Amino acid sequence: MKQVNENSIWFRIFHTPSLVVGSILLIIIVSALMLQPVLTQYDANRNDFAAVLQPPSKEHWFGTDSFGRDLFTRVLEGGKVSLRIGAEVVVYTTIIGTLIALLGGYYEKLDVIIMRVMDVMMAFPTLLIAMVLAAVFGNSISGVVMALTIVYVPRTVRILRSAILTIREEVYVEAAHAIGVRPWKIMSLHILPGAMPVLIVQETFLFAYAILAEAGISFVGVGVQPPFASWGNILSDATTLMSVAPWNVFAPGLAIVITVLALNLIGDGLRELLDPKRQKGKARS
Amino acid sequence: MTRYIIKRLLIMIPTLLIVACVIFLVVNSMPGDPALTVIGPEFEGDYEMVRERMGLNGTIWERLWKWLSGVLRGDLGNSYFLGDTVWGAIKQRLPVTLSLATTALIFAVTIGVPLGIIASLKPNSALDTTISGVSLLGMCTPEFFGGLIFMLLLSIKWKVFPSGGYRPISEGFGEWAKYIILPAFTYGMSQAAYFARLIRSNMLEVMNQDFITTAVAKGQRSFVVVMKHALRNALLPVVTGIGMVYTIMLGGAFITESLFRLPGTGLLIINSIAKRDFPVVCGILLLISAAILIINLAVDILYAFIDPRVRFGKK
Repeated sequence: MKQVNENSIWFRIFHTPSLVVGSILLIIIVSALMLQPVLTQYDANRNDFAAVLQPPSKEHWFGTDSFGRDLFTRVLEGGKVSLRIGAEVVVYTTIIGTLIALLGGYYEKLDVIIMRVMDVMMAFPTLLIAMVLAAVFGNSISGVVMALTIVYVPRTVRILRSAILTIREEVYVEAAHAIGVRPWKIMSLHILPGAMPVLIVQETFLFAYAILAEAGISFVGVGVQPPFASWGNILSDATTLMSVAPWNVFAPGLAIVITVLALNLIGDGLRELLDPKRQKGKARS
Repeated sequence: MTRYIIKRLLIMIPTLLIVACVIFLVVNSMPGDPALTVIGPEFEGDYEMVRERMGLNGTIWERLWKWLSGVLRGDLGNSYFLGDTVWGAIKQRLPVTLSLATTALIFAVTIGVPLGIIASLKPNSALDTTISGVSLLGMCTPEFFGGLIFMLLLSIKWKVFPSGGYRPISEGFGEWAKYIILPAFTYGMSQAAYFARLIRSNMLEVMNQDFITTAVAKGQRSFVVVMKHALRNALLPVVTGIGMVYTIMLGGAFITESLFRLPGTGLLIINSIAKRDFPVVCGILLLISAAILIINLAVDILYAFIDPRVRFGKK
């Protein structure tokens, strides 16, 4: 009889339903975005005035907008932009946030200054300042990425720092000190890996926040500008068409909800999977 | 306690000053020249004069100093385009934003907290799973999408509520409520989801503690155990939660205001960014940041009062 190893990583992954469901959803979304040239034969920015405001049909799965543009194509195009922004924000906040948190953990005097700066940055209203920064950086895709990165770095630093402070007190770190391992090496090789689970979970949720924030900023007309489509500005266009062509609202809106849901499920699942306290006997609370 | 409050207030002053400087520098580095917007492209000769009248001459540091000393005297400057002082423009629109955020918060708490309690009573039951699922979905739905759906159903299809606009409360509570309910409900829903999840996990944590077991063992009725023993403790983090959510709501109101055409500070800041009306953008940002700092302080103090464990300034 084949024995099932309940501690194997695959067994645990497949027994975390939210992680499985979230990953499947995300894989479907990402593959749809990548297969866009195969899935649709339309151009996201080509106006077709013979096909204005058509309801969903065989030719136009999600219908068309007021310029006769195919909504399915536009939602996929917009998704590429929205997901790209989310992913870039995650990558940059992770790199910058980790560096700052490590510097603070390493030089204790610097830590005081860093935390004061982070506190001041957190005093700003997140979305509002992100919108202003997006305008400062010129209402472009990279501008939105920069704006959201600046806004979210303090959050990453805070969470990472508290994890680092806890791990720094562990016996094995003390042991490493005692045998003369260089502090910087202890920081990067012994403490940082311990903080990884916290960081991974945090950044997954941040991915979801970033997508929501980008959509919000673009929705009010400050973020990603036409001709680039993003889920936010497609929805923004749809508000004026509400009474005549409500399908314009559903496609981009549902795309946001499903993507954010997928990321939240993955985040929940990862937290369950990576939290050592929840592994044994899986406290069903 | 008093010393703690004074200390916190003293720390707040330099923080606010730094925040004000950052706001001014960031906003004024926006590309685009408001003087050109005022003057139009034709009248090149008057350009310098207009710049001077708008206070745009001099280095950025001189302008920062002038603005900051004005702010310290309670003068936020004049709008470039509105023909009004910044404070005047904000004062006129502030009631709208406060109405929206406060009503939304009331919706969020009155819907979210009971749902969280109900879900926690029978963990992993069908009811709990449904509530948890719906609140997860609520958290993933941006307010502008939820709002559009509500608008589609309640304003366009059934015509229960107007689809946008605002009436001040001075025109009667009924009128005011008719216009504010839909936006506030929309805006409150995602935060209701947050409260439901927060209360549920707090309740579950408290219900697993020894003093609950003791209360049950004493033969206390389960209603009393839940309401008196568990809920009291589970509500504690909600105090912080309410403060935090309110600050988020003040700062994020601009999206809902834009969707429902509510003429509040959020819509004002969006329009002011588009026109490069820097003094107005600075003024709104500064006021909301100050409000956030004050609310956070108030929450910390309140928390210290409620929870004896966090009473600072040791006796």
